Amino acid sequence: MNTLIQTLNRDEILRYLGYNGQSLSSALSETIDTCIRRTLRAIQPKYLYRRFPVSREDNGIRIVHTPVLLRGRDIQAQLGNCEEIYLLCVTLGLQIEREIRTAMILAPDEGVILDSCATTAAEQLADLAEQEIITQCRQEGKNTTWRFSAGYGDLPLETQQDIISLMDTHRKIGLSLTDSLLMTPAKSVTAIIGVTDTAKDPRRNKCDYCNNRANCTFRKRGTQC
Amino acid sequence: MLKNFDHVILLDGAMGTMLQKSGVRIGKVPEALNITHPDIVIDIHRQYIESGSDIIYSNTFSANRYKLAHCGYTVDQLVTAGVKNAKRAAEGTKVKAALSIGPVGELLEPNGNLSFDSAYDIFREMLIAGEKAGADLVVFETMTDLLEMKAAVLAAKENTSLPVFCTMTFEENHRTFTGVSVESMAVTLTSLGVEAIGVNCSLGPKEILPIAQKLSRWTPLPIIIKANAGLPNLNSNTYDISAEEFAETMREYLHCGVSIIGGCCGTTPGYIRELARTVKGQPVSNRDWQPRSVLCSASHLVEVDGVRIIGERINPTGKKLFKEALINHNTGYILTQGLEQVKAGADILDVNVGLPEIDEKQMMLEVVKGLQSVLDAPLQIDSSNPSVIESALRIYNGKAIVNSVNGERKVLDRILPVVKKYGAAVVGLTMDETGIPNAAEDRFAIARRIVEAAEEYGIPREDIYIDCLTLTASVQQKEVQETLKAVKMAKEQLGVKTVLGVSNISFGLPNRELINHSFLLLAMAHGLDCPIINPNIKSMMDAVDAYNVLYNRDVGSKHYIEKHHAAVSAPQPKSKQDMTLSYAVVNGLKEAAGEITGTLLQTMDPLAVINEILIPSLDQVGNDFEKGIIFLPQLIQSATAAQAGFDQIKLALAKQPAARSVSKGKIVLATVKGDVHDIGKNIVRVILENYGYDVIDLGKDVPVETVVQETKRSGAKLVGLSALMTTTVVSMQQTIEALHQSGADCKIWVGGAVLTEDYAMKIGADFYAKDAKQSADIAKKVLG
Repeated sequence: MNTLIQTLNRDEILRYLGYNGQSLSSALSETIDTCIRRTLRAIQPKYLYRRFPVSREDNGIRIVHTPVLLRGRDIQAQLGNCEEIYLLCVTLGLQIEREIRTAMILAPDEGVILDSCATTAAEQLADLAEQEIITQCRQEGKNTTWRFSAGYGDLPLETQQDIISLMDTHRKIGLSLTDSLLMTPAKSVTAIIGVTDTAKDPRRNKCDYCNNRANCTFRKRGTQC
Repeated sequence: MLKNFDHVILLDGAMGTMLQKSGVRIGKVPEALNITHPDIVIDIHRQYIESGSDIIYSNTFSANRYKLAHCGYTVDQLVTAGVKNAKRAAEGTKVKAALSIGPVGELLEPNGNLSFDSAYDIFREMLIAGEKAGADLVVFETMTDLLEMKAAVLAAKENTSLPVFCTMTFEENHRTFTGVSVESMAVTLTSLGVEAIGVNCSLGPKEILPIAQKLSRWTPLPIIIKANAGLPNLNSNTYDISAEEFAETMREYLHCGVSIIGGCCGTTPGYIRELARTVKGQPVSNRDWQPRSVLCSASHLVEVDGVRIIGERINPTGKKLFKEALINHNTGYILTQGLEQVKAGADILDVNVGLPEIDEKQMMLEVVKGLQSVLDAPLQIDSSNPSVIESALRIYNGKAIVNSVNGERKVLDRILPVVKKYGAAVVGLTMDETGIPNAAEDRFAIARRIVEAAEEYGIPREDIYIDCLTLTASVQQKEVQETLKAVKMAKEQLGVKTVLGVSNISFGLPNRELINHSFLLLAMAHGLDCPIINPNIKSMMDAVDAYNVLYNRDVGSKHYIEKHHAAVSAPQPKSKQDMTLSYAVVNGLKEAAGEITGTLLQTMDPLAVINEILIPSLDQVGNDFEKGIIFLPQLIQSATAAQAGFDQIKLALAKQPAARSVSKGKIVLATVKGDVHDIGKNIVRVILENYGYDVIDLGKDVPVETVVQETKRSGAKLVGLSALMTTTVVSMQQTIEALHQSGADCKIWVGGAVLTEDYAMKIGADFYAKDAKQSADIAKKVLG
């Protein structure tokens, strides 16, 4: 049963649905509330993170003592002088996927709302796990970098395979990949977080690395995904 | 040793934990060590043997084709080396070497996009290599998907003669990651005829104990437990209990009949030594297992220990809309029928998709896969064709029931072996080559023949359901009582469960419902277990509720009071008289839209309702969406409201003698190969259907060939493709190229998060749509 996430950010859900201040009927508002409750019942949030030392190589960042090389200029820029990173993997489980699938057949309006609720829940779960990491680092007087994921910038999507297998996510939290590198359950997040010595937050805007920057409907509306 | 499980035998402990301890550098796959460092692997095996293991697991857990990609070794190499290392270590002892096989690592459909057949092939490759290298048995372990386990078991049984052990991994909620329940696992694997089943990994011995206790009530098979060394700390990779505590806790398991014990993650030879001291060789107590009549999906079990309703609606016989849905591959319509029946109270769903115009086997697979992806009621596979039955049972995730065999010897010999092989239950009709006998005694005689034949094939009596056949009261009034009498005889004298299709009884009579539910009551009073009915008809469900009260099944009338008290006090729906259809659609009021359309159709031509009201209303909604006056859920609510209107119109047209179609043209839709994110495509489908187009939705992860084939077969003039990721846009391009090469006369439009107008044109699409509204505009442009 889900006890990790108690509420969902309603504004976020609306944002994913493309809401832009339109008038909301009370019926639709109730449907959204019902979908939030259904989502909270159906999700099976699990997360996993581990800290690794890293070293620099010509084409990227090596996770020490593993076969994993994080390739590309963007991850190098992102991690700067970090000597350690965290790998973070979170998932909401398969039951919510079934809930969405069924809703898309019986009541598609609820289907799309549930989908946005689940996206919101996955982000909240990632935030929650990230917060634990940040707390650990702060205690050591260190800072963390922005969550960076496989497929951002020039970090190949294939890195997903390395992360999934290094973290043994299939066995530990039920997260795996399809042969086309999509995560199953789909409502999952993996991320690389650098541990920095600089007191100043080195974060940059995540849109800077996004390949969909020019085409993004969120940016057109003046928000972020 | 693999025959007698009266006394505890020991497995080994963890391999991974020991490899890490050895300090050797583990590359991409730990199985590579079988070849690079055989000495280390053999030494670990020997340590376990010296500690008391009777069976050791080869270091081959993930040596499958999927996991070994790019590692430089073949499956054959690593499996062979792994088994040989185990055999080497066991040389000169009685210890057996088990070929260890874990999950593929990629999820099967519908959760991922690995097909059942691909999983089967992956396992087969490992199994053949393992048997050839000398494995004494195979153990499939750490599985979380029952269907993947089934693929593995079938691969073992069809390609090797190895004894099969199966263990799955459960979470604290006693479910696996994919939602498999302990009972469903036990029942399904027991019926498939494996040698032993159990639990490994994920939890420690304290947490697994209740799971083992549950397991022991649902299987007569030897039970295997390979627990972790306590609960894992996911983030530090450590476990929390000692070898002594571990072994002490394992003593408890002897009381529930567990006879094969070892350790999983975090356990070492020290743990096995403690087990050797405490439980090895101990006698295993008897357990309270009883044969029971059960059917199940992976996540839900139905025990037939009272009246259980089989929903009859997934069947084209006499249903025009259902036939159309089959021909157009409108799986959504069929799945809705399933979901509605479950909601109405069906326990089991009959699935019949036989229609001369379609490929029954392919359709059966499509529907069974679809149903098990959205609901968890067990299925009754209804076909007379053994190859259709076999392919459905093969991919069915659970224990199904087959409808049906009859007393004809050649039918029995054709179908019963299939039923046995896949561990299904079976319905036997009391008829044979000479037809349906009139007298109850003669039908009973056939029932007995069926039971005997089933038992000859090894199908236990609790899996046999006899259908004494309902005859039509208006034609064979005398024989109605014979049916009832036969039900009673079969139930009492053969000790089998009974099934009866009910609605036939009233054919040709007025007020059919009255005859139907009256006959249903009589039949239940004569011992009917599983009526096959339409659960959406209230009087039928009411009859079952009443029976359960009157026969003291619904103790204290609890269920009855709950359901029927509420039914009386439910408020009447408000009148929709003052509302217009256009208002209902624009405001997304589904029920109102359906009702108003029904009323309008009494005075208005169906096409006029579509063209003068529904389409203009949808256009208004579409424009509002484009301008940002409404947002996505509102657009979809309007579309589903329009759908309710269209449904009324289709129903009205289906009643007219001459076939009239309101279709504005056919459109093929698909999320391309490799992509499983189909929500955008589904939104587009909803919108297009409600503009009156016939949408042939091919689903997600659709192979290039299927798109081409279905486009040509249906003659659709418009094809829509979606892809979410840059990686899958590649297969979008391939699909477009293949469509062009095939000479299919169609326009293609594409959509998806990473696509742009420019890019769409570059990969050869005719149009790009950024959302569902634009898709509808394109359809209008191309098809009118």
